[in-house]
Amino acid sequence: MLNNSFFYFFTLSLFKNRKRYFAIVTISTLVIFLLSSVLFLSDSIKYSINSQLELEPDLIVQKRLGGRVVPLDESIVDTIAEIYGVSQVTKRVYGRYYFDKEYSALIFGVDFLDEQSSKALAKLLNREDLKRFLSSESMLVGEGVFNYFKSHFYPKAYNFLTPSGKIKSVKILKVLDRRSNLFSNNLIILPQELAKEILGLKSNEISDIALNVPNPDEAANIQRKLEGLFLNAFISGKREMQKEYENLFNYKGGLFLALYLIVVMTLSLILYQRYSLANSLEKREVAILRSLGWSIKDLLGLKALENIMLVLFSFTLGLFLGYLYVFILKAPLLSELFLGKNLQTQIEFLPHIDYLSLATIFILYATTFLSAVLIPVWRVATTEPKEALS
Amino acid sequence: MVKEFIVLASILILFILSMLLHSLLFDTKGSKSAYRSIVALTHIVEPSFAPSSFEPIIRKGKKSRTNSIYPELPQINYLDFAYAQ
Repeated sequence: MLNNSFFYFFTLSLFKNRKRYFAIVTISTLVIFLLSSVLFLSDSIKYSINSQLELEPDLIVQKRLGGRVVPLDESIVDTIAEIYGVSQVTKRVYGRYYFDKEYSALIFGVDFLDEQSSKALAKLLNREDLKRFLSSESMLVGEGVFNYFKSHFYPKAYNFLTPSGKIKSVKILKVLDRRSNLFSNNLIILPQELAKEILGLKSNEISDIALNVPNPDEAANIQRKLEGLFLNAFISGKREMQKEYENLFNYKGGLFLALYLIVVMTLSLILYQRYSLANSLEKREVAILRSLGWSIKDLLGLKALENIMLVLFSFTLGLFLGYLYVFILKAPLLSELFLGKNLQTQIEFLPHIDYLSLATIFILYATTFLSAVLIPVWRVATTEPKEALS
Repeated sequence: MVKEFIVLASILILFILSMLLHSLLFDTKGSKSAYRSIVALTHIVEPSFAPSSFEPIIRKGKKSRTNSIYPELPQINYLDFAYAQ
């Protein structure tokens, strides 16, 4: 095949006209790069969240007044635990602590008496650290929070200002694994009593209650029972959370997909015009080859091969640059669009690629590109060379 | 020109192979277990960067002026001295 004269002519034409193709390839690569990086990023975040969803509690009980989440009385926990079909009832204490108007961290209070929490904590800390965590007022912080503390001259301990106006100094015991930055970047883990003090909760108050329902058939019935427990009860489920995130990321990715479709259509329109314009270089080239005795089939074959090569080159290059940008360079700027800007540090995105959406993009791109070139070429090739050259 | 074409094709294959290799050699298990250790403790499965949609947020206004040497110190302006007198 490599000695084939047709193949030789194809490579010759491809490289001799490289200046002519440069602009098309650059624009196409840029478009593919932008879309693929958005897709890579949204797919990776969705995949990371979905991989952890099994740990999400089945139901969350909150109290909402006027749409605001307000603290719950912890005595309700015993009533909930007595409901038949409910398991692993956990009291959660969490809230946002604002360092200033721009930056905030999520404070989470660990209940040492809760079996699940103590097991999870034991996995996170070694025995000595665990002892120190239990005995002194200390905290575990995410990398983003630690960087903020360090830049504000608090490398070992931070002075929290409680809602009552007191200053609470808490030691930094450990910085959480940077690989978990997606979930722990702006997280501060504290003993529950200390967290309550900093968040301004009373000793008998909690943020919400998480619980599991092992039998999914009982979920609706239990949800009804929970809603009847007290006024203003708000019960949200795992599925609702999942849908909320799916919709959010699909919406953001969809916006870029819509822009991509517009750009691809514009590009193909430009290409179509370029190839069908009277006296255009491409038109002349086709007419000359026809007058030299090339058949329509060979001409279309040559042009198809040339443009398939351009499509493949720009698509692979765009995809490679997108991959490099998201998974090696950690998507600067774009990650802020998906995750928000707050105590940003670099996070590692899991390289997960949705091959189906990539294939859809390729087919959309390749078919519009090729049809925009081949239709005018076929039209010129079927007319008399004399007519086409005049 | 055939040589150049072969070089170009090999570069493209190299791009694809390097992406595949990176995704295969990436420590996905380690990252997932790091996620798991946090989520098992907090039971909160959501990216931790920005405040959630349901949380009350203090909207960004003008950037507060901070002291570059000790950022959390309150700014002193001349009125403080006036009131002090």
